[in-house]
Amino acid sequence: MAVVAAFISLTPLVYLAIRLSEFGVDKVLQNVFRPRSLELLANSLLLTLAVSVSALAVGGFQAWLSARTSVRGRAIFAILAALPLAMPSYVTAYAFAALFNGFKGFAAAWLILTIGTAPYVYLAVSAALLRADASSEEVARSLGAGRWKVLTRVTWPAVRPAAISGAILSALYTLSDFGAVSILGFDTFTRAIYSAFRSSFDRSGAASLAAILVVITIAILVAEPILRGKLNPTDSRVRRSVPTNLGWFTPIATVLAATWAIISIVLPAISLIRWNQVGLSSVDGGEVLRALINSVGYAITGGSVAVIFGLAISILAVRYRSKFTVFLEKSVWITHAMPGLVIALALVFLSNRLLPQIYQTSMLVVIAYLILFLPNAISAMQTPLMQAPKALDEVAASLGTSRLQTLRRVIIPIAGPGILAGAALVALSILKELPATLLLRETGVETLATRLWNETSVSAYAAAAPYALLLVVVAGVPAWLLNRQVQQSVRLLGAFDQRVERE
Amino acid sequence: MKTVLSLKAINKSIAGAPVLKNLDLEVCEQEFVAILGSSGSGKTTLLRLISGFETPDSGTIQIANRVVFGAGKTVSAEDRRVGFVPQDAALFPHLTVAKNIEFGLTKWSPADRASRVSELLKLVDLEGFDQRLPHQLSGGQRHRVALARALAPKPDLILLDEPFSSLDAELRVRLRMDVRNVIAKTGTTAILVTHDQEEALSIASRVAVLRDGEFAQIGIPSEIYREPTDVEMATFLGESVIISGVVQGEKIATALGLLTPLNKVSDGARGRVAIRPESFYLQPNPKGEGEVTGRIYFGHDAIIEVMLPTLVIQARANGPFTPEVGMKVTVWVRGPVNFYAD
Repeated sequence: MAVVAAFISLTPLVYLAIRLSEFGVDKVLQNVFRPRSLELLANSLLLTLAVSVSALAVGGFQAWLSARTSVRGRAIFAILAALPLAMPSYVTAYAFAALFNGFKGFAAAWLILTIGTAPYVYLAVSAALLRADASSEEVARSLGAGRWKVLTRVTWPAVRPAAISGAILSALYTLSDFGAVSILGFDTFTRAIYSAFRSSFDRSGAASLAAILVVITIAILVAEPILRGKLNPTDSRVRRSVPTNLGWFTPIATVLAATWAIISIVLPAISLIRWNQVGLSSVDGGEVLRALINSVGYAITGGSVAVIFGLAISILAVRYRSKFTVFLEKSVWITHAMPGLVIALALVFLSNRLLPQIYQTSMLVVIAYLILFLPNAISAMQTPLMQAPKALDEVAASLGTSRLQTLRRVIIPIAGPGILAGAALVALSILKELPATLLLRETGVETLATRLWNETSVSAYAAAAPYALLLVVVAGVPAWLLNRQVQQSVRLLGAFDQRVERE
Repeated sequence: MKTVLSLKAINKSIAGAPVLKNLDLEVCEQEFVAILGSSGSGKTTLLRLISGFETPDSGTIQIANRVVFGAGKTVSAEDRRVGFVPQDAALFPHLTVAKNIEFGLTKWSPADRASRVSELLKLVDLEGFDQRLPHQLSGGQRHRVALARALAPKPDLILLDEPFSSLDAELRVRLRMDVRNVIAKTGTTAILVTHDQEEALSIASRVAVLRDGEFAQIGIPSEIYREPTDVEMATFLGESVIISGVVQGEKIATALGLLTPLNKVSDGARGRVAIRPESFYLQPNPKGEGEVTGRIYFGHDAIIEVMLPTLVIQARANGPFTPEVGMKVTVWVRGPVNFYAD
């Protein structure tokens, strides 16, 4: 099963390369070196760079504020900083576009994607700050370093790898984002690929652009370890320090954090509420319900398939670690960074050529979900599986229990709830997926995401409002609850382990 | 006596490096054997080979007169009837104490199962704890449940992998005796792996010292301590003062005078003598050659460092009065000593 999953994951990229070679090198090069491509390249790179820098600044500031300072309300700021994760960036884009006339172009895309990706930096940096030993900061201060010097010479080096990783995640997210840039009318690769695909029967244009996007993505992935630098192991005993009092900077920091919270959360919320007041009265309830059912159906089917394969790979990777199983696990991750649109496009080519009967069927959509969300499923499965340590397997074997019985009597009962929670998380992220669904869905099948996209692209903001609200509610709220639950169980597990060690 | 475990010419390499070299071991019924070794000596690997979690590169393993490894045959762990008590107890966290104990009794009738569980709970002194979950138990209780769980299916052999190393010193000593009594009561053959020599000497009926993948010495505890096979053993197991000496007739001439050898010696041989710190007797004597230069006081006894004209020795002195630093003493050696020819 793991082999099948890895095979399915790698096929589209390989096939994209094959198709490109079939179009002929000359034609591809001709496509690649058109002025239009260079313009797209400049747009995409500029946006990616701008978003990762601003996300680093915003997320890093929020993390430092809530983890290291004594600013009032930092617990609330901590929640507010992570909250935008619940809103897909195309919903945020819709909310802003609906609220402000002429909200379009580079600056708009920059703002929306910063809102969407700053939480990644925030989460990475605050985790690193909590892990980093605060007493080294106290030592630095006792050696006469001022607050600014402590920040630049002690704190920043400790969190730098995490911060850079977060920024690179933002960059990859920006590169692969399709919905937000399309709604905001800013031409990047993803938007151009989609319009090239829709507007012409000659697919070589779309394929060439997709190839450039893949190359850039791979370049970022290769550069990541270099940019991130070496991870320094820290003392595992974490001591809590007294939070820094910011003095005269306190009101400024508070105003900054509050302003960002208003922009990133309050404004979109106001927009959603306002347009729903208009939209709910005029909406066709049946249509909304159909979209909801389709969305949930896709999410459950795609989620189950991804989780079943993810479980197989995780069990292999966690329990039977060998070079081969590690390779299987890693191969799945390669496609993770690839834009959903590129994967979808590759699947279109592949199914057209090899299996025309599945083109534009839900089956192809499910395959796309499997490729895109298998890594999420694997990481969601590994934590619960690790809760059942290998020693338990061995004890069970010494008591005369076969492997299959051990799975049923030990591993499933212990890891089961975690596996279910992980499956739900995967299904929820599928629910929010836009580009692959848009490209591959069966004709006539509309989901919440595609309905929102269709209505927004003709500026029918009122008609789009119910879908936006439903997406936030259906995908956002449970995701947040689950996230809390997962964190709690991790904390409990940690406490349990500590107790075992202590006694 | 019936042989329960027999290892013949066991070899095992991990990542190309030999861990166990040509090991032979026989364990008889109702014996309690401690395998003593420092970390990296291969003792845990040996345990995992016996339990069936790993397989040797070559050799034969027989348990209860049944070949479980060798001659092209490998019996898997679940069919070996070998109980296993891991280092951290590893109770199933989702099952109650009773369910943990009866985990290996699926083929028993419900009535037999229930009576076996209550029998074992009584044995490990945990009556009334049957409905508790593992996280509601203390460290010592968890280990006793793990022991009961391993004993429940009446295994031919039970293996204990440093079961007390995560406990504090006081609890460790108490649990050690509990475990020995429980295992003795059930008449089970047991093998314990440990790096703690005090533990090995106090709990086992026989000790096998594993050094660099080979058994350096196998014997009953007093024999192992009294008659180490070589100088390395004399310093590995307990402390020893090593001084050089020459055999002269029946005696060994050393800087501490003429000493009586414990083992067979040949006249004229040069070599080294190992003397246990407690074999020294320090007699206060203002004209003595030795001067006390250091003293570590433990309450029940003390380690005294004595400087003699040609060497420095560490002696263990007990009794109500121990020599003070600066005192002059005469050093006597009580009883025979071990001589190792070069």
